[in-house]
Amino acid sequence: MARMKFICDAERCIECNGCVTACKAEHDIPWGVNRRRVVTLNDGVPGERSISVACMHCSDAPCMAVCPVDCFYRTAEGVVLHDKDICIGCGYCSYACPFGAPQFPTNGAFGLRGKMDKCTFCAGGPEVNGSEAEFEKYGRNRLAEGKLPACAEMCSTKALLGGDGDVIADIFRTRVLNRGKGSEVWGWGTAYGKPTQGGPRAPVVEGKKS
Amino acid sequence: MRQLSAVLALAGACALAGCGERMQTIPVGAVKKVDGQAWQIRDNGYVASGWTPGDEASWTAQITRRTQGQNDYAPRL
Repeated sequence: MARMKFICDAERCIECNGCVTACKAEHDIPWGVNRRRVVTLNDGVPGERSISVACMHCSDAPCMAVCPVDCFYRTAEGVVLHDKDICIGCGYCSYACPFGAPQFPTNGAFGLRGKMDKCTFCAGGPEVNGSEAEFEKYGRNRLAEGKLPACAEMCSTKALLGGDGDVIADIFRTRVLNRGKGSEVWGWGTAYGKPTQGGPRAPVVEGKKS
Repeated sequence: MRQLSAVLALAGACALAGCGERMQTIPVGAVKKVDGQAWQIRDNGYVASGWTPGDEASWTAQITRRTQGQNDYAPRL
C-alpha cells in the first residue's frame, strides 16, 4: 500500500507560487485560506532558498493527538484528513501543527473563526468520493480520480514531488546523486541511504555520522 | 393544605428536572463517517483515463505511473 508524502526540493523551487495558485484554483479555496504556501529563507540574500509548505500528512500527527472532538482520521494511503461536520473550529490543531497547516476561514465582520481547512493531499474528505458534497467541503478528490495532488503535478520545475513516499524518495535520491551535491547533509543516510531504484549510492564518509 | 402539597410537589418536580443531564458521549459510528477507498469513485467526468475505477491494482499502477512522471531521470516511454 502506498504511503503518500510530499518532498520539496529547495534547490529547484523558484518561488513562483504556482503550487499555491493551483491549489486555490483546484479546490475553490476562499480568500484568507492558503492550504499551501511558499516560504523563503534568507529572502533577498544571495543563496536564498524557498520551499513549498502544506500539511505533511505526518505519520504521528500532532493535530490528531490534540483534537478534542476527534475529527481527524488517516486513510489507508497515509493521508491525514478531517471531518468538517465534527470540527468545532477550536484551533488546537493549529497550535499543535509545526507546519502551520490548519487554516481557519474568517466569516463576518467580527472575524468569527470557521471550521478548520487544510491540505487534503487532494483526497477530499469523508463524503462520497467525487461527490458535490465532498467538493463543497473539502475540494476535489484527485486521488480517487487517478491523479496526484494538483500542486505537485503543476510544479514547473518539479521541485515539489508528491506521491508514494518510496517512489518520490527514489526520485529525489537519484536527482541529488546526479547533481553531486546534497547527499552530504546530516540525516541523508537515514532518509535516503538505501537506493532501490538503481543509481549510485550516496557517498559514505568513514567515521562520520550521516 | 392539599393545595400547598400540590404546589410543593410541582415545585419539587420542576427543581429535579433541572438536575437531569443528557448524555454527551458520542457513540462510536453514530457521527463519524467512514471514508471510502481511494480507488472507489463514480465517474464524475474528471476521472483520469488509463485505469479502471474500483480496481485497487489498477489504481495503484496508475498512481505509481503518474508519480514516475515527476522523475526527470526516468526513461520516457
